[in-house]
Amino acid sequence: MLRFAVRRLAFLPVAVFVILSAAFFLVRTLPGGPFDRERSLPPAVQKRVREAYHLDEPVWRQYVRYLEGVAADLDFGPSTRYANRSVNGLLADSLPTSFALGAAALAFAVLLGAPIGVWSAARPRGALPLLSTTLALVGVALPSFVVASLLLLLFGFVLEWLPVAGWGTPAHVVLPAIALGLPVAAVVARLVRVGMIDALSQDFARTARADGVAPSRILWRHAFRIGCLPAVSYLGPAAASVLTGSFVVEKIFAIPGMGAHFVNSVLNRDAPLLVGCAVTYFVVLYVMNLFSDLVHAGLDPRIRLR
Amino acid sequence: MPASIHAFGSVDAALSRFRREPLARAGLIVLVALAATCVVGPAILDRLGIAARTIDLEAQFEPPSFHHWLGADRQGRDLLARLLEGGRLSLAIGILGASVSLALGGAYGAAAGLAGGRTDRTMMRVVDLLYGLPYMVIVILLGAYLGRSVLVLFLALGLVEWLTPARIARGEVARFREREFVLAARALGSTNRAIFRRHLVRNLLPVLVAYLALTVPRVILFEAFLSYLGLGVQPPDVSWGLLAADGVQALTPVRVYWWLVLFPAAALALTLLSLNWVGEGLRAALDPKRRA
Amino acid sequence: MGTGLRAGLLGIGLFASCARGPRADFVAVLWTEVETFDPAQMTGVADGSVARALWEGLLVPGDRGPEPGIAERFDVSDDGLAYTFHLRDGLRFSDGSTLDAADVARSWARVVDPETAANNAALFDGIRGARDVREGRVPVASLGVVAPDPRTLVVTLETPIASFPDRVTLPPFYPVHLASIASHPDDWQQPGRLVCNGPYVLESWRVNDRMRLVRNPYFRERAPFGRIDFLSVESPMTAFNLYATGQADWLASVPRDVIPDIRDRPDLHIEPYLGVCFYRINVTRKPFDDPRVRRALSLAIDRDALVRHVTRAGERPATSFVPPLVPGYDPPTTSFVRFDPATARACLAEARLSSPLDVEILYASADVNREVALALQDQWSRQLGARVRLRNQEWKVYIQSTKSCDYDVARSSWIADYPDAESFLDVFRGDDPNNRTGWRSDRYDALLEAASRVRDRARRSKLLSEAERILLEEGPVLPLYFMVSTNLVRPSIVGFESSPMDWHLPHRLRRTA
Repeated sequence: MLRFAVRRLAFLPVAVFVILSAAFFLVRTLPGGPFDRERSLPPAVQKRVREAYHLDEPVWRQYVRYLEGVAADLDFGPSTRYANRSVNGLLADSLPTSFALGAAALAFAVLLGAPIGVWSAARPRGALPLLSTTLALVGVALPSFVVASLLLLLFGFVLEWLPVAGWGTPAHVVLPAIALGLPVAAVVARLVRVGMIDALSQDFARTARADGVAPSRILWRHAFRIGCLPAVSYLGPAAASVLTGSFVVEKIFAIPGMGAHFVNSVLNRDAPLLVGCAVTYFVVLYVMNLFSDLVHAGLDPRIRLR
Repeated sequence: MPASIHAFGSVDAALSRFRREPLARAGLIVLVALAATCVVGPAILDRLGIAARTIDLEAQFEPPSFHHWLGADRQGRDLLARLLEGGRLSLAIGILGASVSLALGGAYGAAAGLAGGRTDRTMMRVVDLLYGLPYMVIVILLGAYLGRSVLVLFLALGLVEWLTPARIARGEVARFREREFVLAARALGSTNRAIFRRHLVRNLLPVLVAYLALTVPRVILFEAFLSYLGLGVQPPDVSWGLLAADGVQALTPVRVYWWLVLFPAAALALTLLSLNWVGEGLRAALDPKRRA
Repeated sequence: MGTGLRAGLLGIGLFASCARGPRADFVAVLWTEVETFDPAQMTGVADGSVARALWEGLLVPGDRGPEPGIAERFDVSDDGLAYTFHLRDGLRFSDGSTLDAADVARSWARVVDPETAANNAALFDGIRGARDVREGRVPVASLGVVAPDPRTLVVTLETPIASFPDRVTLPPFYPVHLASIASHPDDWQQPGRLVCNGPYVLESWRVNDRMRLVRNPYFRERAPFGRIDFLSVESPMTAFNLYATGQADWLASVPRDVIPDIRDRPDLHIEPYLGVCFYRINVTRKPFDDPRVRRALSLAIDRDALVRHVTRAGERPATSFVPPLVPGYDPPTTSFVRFDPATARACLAEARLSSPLDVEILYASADVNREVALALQDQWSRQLGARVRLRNQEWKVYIQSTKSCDYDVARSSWIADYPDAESFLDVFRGDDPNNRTGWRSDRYDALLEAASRVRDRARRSKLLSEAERILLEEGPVLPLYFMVSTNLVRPSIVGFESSPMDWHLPHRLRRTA
C-alpha cells in the first residue's frame, strides 16, 4: 500500500507540469487580453503594461520564465487583475476559506447522506426512502443558485435565523455549507443505499444474522464497511471540488473563496491566477483521489493496491 | 448468439425487470409526458395567440392570470410558452450533450480498455489529467471561435462531461477482456476491431445507456450554471436553466415574483428527478448480480 | 510567498480565516473589487471610492464644485493660465513624514513620466508640456508644475481649462509617497505598507472580501469613524441583502430589481449621474455607413418605454450624448434623438436599401444589456420592419469585437472622468482608441481641437455643442438613456450629499446617536 501511494505521488509533479502548461497556453488562446476594458488604455501605456508582465515576449519565453518561477520557489507570479498582488498571496488568502467551508459542507453531506442511505437500505419500504428521495429531489435536481437563493430567503429573511451573507462567524458557514453540501449529500445517500443493499445480500451478513448478531450491529459494524465503498470512491473527487470552492455559492453568500478566482481568472484573462487555481485544484483532486483509494483499500480486505 | 454470454442477460429480461421498478416507470411516464407537452404545446398556445417571444412591456411581471396562466416575465412574455420552448431546448441539450459525451467517452474508454497494457494506462492517465483542466476556458473558447449557438453549446457540454463515461467504459471493457468469450474469439484469430464490434459494443451499450439517464441531468444543470454566468443560450433561445437564473434574479427580499422561480424550478426538478429514477431503474435492471 | 501558499495547502489556520477582528464603525459595500491602490493607475469606480478615503488632493469634490483639500485656497491668473495653490500648514503623510508642495509636484511628474505608464496620464494634458512629456518628446522636468516654496504650487496651463479645479480632485493628482514606492517598487501598495495622506490608512485587504481602513493619526482632522470597512460584493442582490439585514451602512449601487419597490424610502438616494448608455454603430459596414439609416434607427427607439420598463431605476431618456449636467454646457437639441416612428420609416425609405434592413445587436453578458437589446430588437422590428438578431459575447470577447469593428451596433456606456463635455466628446475623435466605430469627421475633430485652445468659456461651450450636434446628426452613436447613481445610506448616517459624479467623501459622514 505504501509503495502504491509513493508511486502515485511520484507521478504528481509530472501531472502538475502538464496541467500548468495546458492552463498557461489555453488561457492565451482566448480572445481578448488582461488589459482590454471598455475604456482603452492609451497605446503607450498598453505597451508598458505588457512589458511589465512580459507579455511582449514570445510565448515560449514567457512559458520558460513562468516555469522557472514555479519550479524555483513555487511562485505563480503576479496577478494581472489585482495590481501588486501575487497569485500565491491570493490563494493563501482564499484557500483556507474554501477549505473551511468545504469541510463543513462535506461533514454535512456525509452526516446527512450516509444515515439516510443506510436506513433506507435497511428498511426499503417506508418513510425513509421517501425522505431520501425528497433529498435527492432538492439536491440533485435543482441548480445550486436556486437552492442557495431559497435557503437565503427562508432562513435569512423570513425566519431571520442566520446571516444572509458574509464570512467571519460560525453562523456564516451554515447556509453556504448546506447549499454546497446538499447535492453531495444526495449522491452519498444514493450510493450508500446501493452499496448497503448489495452488502446486506452477501453471505457474511446472512451468517451474522443467523448467528443472532443484533441487526443494528450488523448494519453499522459489518455491512457499512463494505456498503460505504461506492460512496468513498465518489467522495474523493467530490471533496476536491467542494474544498476548492464553488463560484455560485461564493457569489451568492459573498464568501472570499477560491471558486470565484477560478471562474473570474478566466473571465479576466488573468493567466497566472488561473494557472495557480488549476494547479491547486488538481493537487487537491489528486491527493483526495489517492486518499479515497487508500481508505477504500483499508475498508475492503478484497482489494490489493498495486 | 445465445443470451447467456451477455453480461447482463437478455435485453428482454432486463426490460421486464425495469418495468417492475415503480419509480423508474413513473419517471419514464413523466418524461414522455413532459417531452410531448414541450413538443406539441407551443403550437397549441400559438393557436390561442400566445407566443414565447412576444414582448409586451405593459404586462411586465404579471402574476398568473387568465391571460398568462403561469404569469409573465420581466419583458411581459408568457411564462408558460417560454417554459415549453425552454423545455425543448433543455431536453435537447441534455440528451444531445450527454450523447456526445457518452459517444466520445465510450469510444475512448473502450479503446483504452481494449488496448490494455501501457496504452491503456497512458490513455487513462490523460483522462485523469483532463479532470483537472479548467472547463470554463473550453466553454468560452468554443463560444468565442464558433459563435454562441445552441449547437456549440451541445459540443461544449459534451466535451466537458465525457471523462466519467470514459472511465466507466474502460472499466467495463477491462472486465470483459478477460472473459472467456473474448479470449476464445482472440484464440480464433479475430482482430481487435472485430472483437470490439461483435461483442463489446453489445455489452457496453446497456451500461452507457443507463449512465445516459444520469448524465442528462448533469448536462442540463451545467447549462443552467452557464446561463447563470450569462454564457448559456442566448435570446431568442430560452432554456429552463436560463428561466431559473432569471427567476432567481427577480427573487429579492423586497418582493418575490414567485412564479418566475417556482415554475422553472419545478420543471427542472421534475425532469431531473424522473431522469434519475429512470437511470437508477436501468442500472438496477442491468445489474449483473440480479440477472435472472 | 511560497511559504504562504504551502501554509494554506497544509490547512494551517484553517478556521483562522474566520477571524476578522473588531467590528467596523462604518461599513460600505462596493460591487466590484478594487484593482489598484496606485492613484496613477486608477480607472475603476470602486478604486475611486476607496481612494477618497485614503488620500486627499489639493482640492476635494463638493456638491457645488471643488472645495479646499490640502490646499487651503488657490488663485487663478487673469488669463486663466496660471494656478497657484496654497497648501495648508503642517501636512503629513500617514507615516508621519512631512508633505509639502514639492511632493505634490514630484507626484504629478511621476504620473506623466512615460516610465510610469500611467492609465491616467492624459488627464494632465493642458498643463504646459504634459503631452510632450508623456509622449516622451521632452524630459519630465519641463512639466509646467513648480513648487517655489514648501507651501506653494504653481501650475502653468497651455490653455485655460475651465474644469481644471475639478480635475485636480481626481486620484492621479493625489500626492503619493515616493520614498516608499522607491524602496518597495513591487509591493508598496500592500496593507500596512501603503503610505497615503487622507483621513484613513489601509490596515488589511482580502480580495473579494473586505478592506479595513483605520483612522490616520497624522491627518489634519480627526476622522469621525475609527475603523471603516469596504466590502466588495460581486452579486448586486447579495450586496443589497447585506444592507437590508443591517450589516452595511452604505450601499454604493442598488440593484435595479429592488428599486421600483423601495423608491419612496428616505434612505434611497437616486441622482442624475454623468454617464450615458448608448449604442455604437459600425459605420464601416453597409448599410450603416448611410447616416439616414442611422437616423432611422435612432428615431425608432422608444426611449421612454426603455427607462420605464427595462432599466426602471429613474434613468432619463437620452436627448443628447452628453448628459445635461455639465456646468456651463448646453447640449444641442436635435431632431434625431427622439421617438418618431413615422420619420424613422421615411428616413429608411430615403436610404433606398436594396434589401430589408438587417441589424445585429452585439452586447456583453450582463443582464441589463440583454434586456435593453431585447427591447430594441422588438422596437426596431416593429417600427422599421427590420430583421434584428442578438449576439451575446463574453465581456472580453465583446471588447475585442468592438475594437476590431466586428459588429453592426454594440451596446456601450460612458462615464465622465470629470464634469466636462469634452470628457464625453473626446471618445469620438477620429484617432481615439475608444472610438471603435470607424467614424471620423475632420470638422468634429477640428471643433474639439479649437475648443481645447479657446480661452472664453461661453465660446468653448458653443464649439463643443456644435461638435456634439455633428456627432448626433451624422455620427455613430444612438444615445439611449442617461444613467443615475443609486445609493442606500442608513438613516442614522448624516452628511451624505449627492453629486453628479457620484463622488462621496467618507470622512464627511457621521453617525447620529
